[in-house]
Amino acid sequence: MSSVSVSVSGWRKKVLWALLFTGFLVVATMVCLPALRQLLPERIPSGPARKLALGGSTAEYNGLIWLAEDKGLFKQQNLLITHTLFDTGAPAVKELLAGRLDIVLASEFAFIAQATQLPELVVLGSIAKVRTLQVVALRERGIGVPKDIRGKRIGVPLGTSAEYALENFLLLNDLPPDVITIVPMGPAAMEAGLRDGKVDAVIVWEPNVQRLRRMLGERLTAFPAQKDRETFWCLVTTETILSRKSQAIEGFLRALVATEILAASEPSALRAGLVRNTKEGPEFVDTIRPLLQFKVSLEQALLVAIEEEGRWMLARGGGAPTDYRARVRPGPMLAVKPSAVTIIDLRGRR
Amino acid sequence: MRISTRFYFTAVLAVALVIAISLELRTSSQRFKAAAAKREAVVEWLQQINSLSHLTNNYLLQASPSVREQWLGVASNLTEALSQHPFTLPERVAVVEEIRERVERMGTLFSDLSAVAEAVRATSVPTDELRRNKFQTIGSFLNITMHESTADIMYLLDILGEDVTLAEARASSMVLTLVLTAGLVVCVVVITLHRSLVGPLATLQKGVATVASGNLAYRTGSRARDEIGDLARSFDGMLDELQKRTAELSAANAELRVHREHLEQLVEERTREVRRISEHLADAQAMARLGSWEWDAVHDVITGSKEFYRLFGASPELLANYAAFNALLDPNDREHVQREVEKALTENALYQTEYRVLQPDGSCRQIQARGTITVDDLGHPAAMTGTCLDITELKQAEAKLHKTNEDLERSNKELEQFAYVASHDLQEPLRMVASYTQLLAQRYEGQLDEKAKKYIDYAVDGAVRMQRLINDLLAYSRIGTRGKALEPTDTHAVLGETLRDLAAAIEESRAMVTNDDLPIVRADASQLALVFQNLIGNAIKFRSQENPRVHVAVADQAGEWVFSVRDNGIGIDPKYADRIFVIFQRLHTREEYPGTGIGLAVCKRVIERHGGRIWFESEPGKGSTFFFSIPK
Repeated sequence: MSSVSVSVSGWRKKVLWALLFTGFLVVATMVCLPALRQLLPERIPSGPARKLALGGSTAEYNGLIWLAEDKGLFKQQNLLITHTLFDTGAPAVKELLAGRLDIVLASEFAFIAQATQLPELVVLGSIAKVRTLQVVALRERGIGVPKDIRGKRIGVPLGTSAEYALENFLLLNDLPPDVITIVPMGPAAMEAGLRDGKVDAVIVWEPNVQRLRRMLGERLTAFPAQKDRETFWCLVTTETILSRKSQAIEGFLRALVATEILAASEPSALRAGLVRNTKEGPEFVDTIRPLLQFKVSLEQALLVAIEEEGRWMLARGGGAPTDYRARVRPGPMLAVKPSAVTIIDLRGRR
Repeated sequence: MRISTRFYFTAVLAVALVIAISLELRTSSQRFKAAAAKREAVVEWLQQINSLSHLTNNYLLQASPSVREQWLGVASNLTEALSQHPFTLPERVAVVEEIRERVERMGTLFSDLSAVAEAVRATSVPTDELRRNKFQTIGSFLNITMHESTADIMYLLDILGEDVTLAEARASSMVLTLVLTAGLVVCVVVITLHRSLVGPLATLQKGVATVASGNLAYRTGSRARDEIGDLARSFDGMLDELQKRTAELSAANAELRVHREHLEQLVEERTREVRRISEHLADAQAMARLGSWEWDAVHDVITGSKEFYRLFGASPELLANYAAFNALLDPNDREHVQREVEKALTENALYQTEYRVLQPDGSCRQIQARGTITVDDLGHPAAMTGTCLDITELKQAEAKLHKTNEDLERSNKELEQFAYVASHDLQEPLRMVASYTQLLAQRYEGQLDEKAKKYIDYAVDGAVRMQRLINDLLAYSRIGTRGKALEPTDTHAVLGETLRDLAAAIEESRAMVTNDDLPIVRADASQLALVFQNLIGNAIKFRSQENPRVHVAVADQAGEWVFSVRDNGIGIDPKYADRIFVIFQRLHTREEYPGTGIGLAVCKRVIERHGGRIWFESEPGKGSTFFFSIPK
């Protein structure tokens, strides 16, 4: 009789201990699961690789794209990125609208210029801010300080941010817009224009500034044209693509956010990518690096800049009144990096 | 592993875990505090940026100098705060530097903005479009720069948030790991303790219950190397020993039972035997008139056997103590009995006395009493036990025997005297018969025919033999009446004198007589010589075909000298042992061996007078050895 009671008691104790131990594990896991999720690596999407066609250029603002490709961060997101190069944003946007591209990297000015006419275009955020626009002038034309450009012929790539920056440059130097003669001129023609005397100065972005310096040497002087105003390099897509490839786009943004962190911790890797892809040499990269900020964000500053430039463009008779706030699509950025969204009415959303 | 060691390791591990958890919590707390401090500083920057944004908007509307001063004050504070930033990591410092550069740019833009405003105010003319545009453009730039600064600060806050989240995750994971480890350790300890304690204890409990029910064959069979294992093995060992002892005990009980039954049987037999012996003893005591008694000298209580009370003619109640015993004694014996009792008690000596007991019928019974003293632990006499023998008839027989002995002694003396006198007195007539017969033969020689001569020779020969017999008889009787006092005697000298007397016979028979060293004994020398003479003479006379060889030896035995005379003669048939020492008894005819048949009777009488014994050992044809003893 006693042996039977002992065995039953032992069986009950074992079950009790097993239940207690299981309960302890469950409670501990529930309590610590959020922390564990933080520590665990992100789950890589499974299935066939998702294609995403990217349109851009070899300009330095692509630094994060190159670093992500170098480090295989797109592959980690199961993405297959194709990168098509364009000289300016406008032809890239056309390809986007034609459905041959999914995302175009363009300045906010290029976006505004297209968005007023193409309601399909939306902006997801920016991946870089640059201040490389400079007014490059020939010393031999009597230009030593910014105000010396009064009455000079200035080569300008019209329809780009350079045109907007030149007007601000004049304004901040107390010069009315009509004191200069604007000569429409693309970056490729500027050297000849300066050399041939067609223009006394040009306003252009990198790497053209450095190329002109190399070609014309000491004959040139340069003034920062956007010292207080940066150009945002935006991720532009269409409403249709966004709805169709939202997951791939989120993966793309996630890879860029990871690349941003990586760039901060491995600046040498970022520099190596810039040197290799810009093909301008390390000196160029080191020169322009302080003028570059690689940051994946959707800032209030971008929205303000877009609206400001939109108003400027409208005042010049370009485009149409546009609700640019409505063209901002914060969804993917909020899903990937909520803190990067600083648009006032979207702060804190997830 | 032993349980104590397990407890030790568990305690060490628990302490280590507690220390690790404490350290991790402390480190995490410090990390959180540092992150909170950084976050607080960055939030302060953000608030100042917001303040600058508000002030900028106010200034754009009113261009108030006071607002300008406020803007410059806030910007100064922000610049100073940024220069004292708490960050150390290069990428964080780089972000802070960007913010600081933007703030500087904001300062420049605000200076430009205020310069435009001051210029407008100073001219007191309507503001031209260029200045208005410049004012708005600078304001716009300023606004955008502040938004960018806000974004940078938000980014920094985000990084800090991620730091805190990572720190939380790390702390949580570490604590979780440690807690899980602790839980695992607790589970392992509990399981192992359950296995090593509860299980074995249950087994032991079962074993105890099983053993308690009487089953000693139960074994735990534990192989654990801890204390419980030791206990279980000790328990098994105890059961082994217990089982062995139980088996031994059962065997011993069985053996004891057999022994007890045997003992009971023996006791029963012995009881019967004792009863029978008691009855026999009582009968014997009754027949022997021997009673047993015990006197408790301390409490003065006398107890005795049935015969004891019968001898005293009293009941146990009447003969209950020494006074009652004393009262039953003949008054003439009381004093010496009392003296013997006191002597026995004081000297712890044997109590032995005789007394007379007055019987109820007035007769008197003669008692011989013996007793021994029993002493207590201190050596004091405690009791006396003994016997009482009725010697009344013995005493009467002794008296009668004494009287008979006296009569017999007197008769013997008278007989010896008669024999002596008769022998002596018969000598004369016999000498006369022999003398006158010889005289008749001489006087009438020639006148008597041969027959008459023959008759006369017969008469003379008979008289001579008669005379020899009388002499021998006289000599025999003189042994008791004319013997000398016993005195130290050199037996060697006596033997030598005897051999000289027998020299002729020895020479004639060519006998060889040898002897050992002979001692000095208390004896009558002449009578002892007579013994040697008869024994050696017989040895020569009854010789065989061989020359006689006689050896006289002696042996010193307890209390006596044993002499032996050994010969190589014809020997004696042992069946004649009773006859040869009787006077005038002969085993041979006179024609075969001459003699009167009195020699060995003389020897026997002499030896008996000396208090010794005489006997022989012989076989016919193998010689004889005669032994006699002389007391020392």
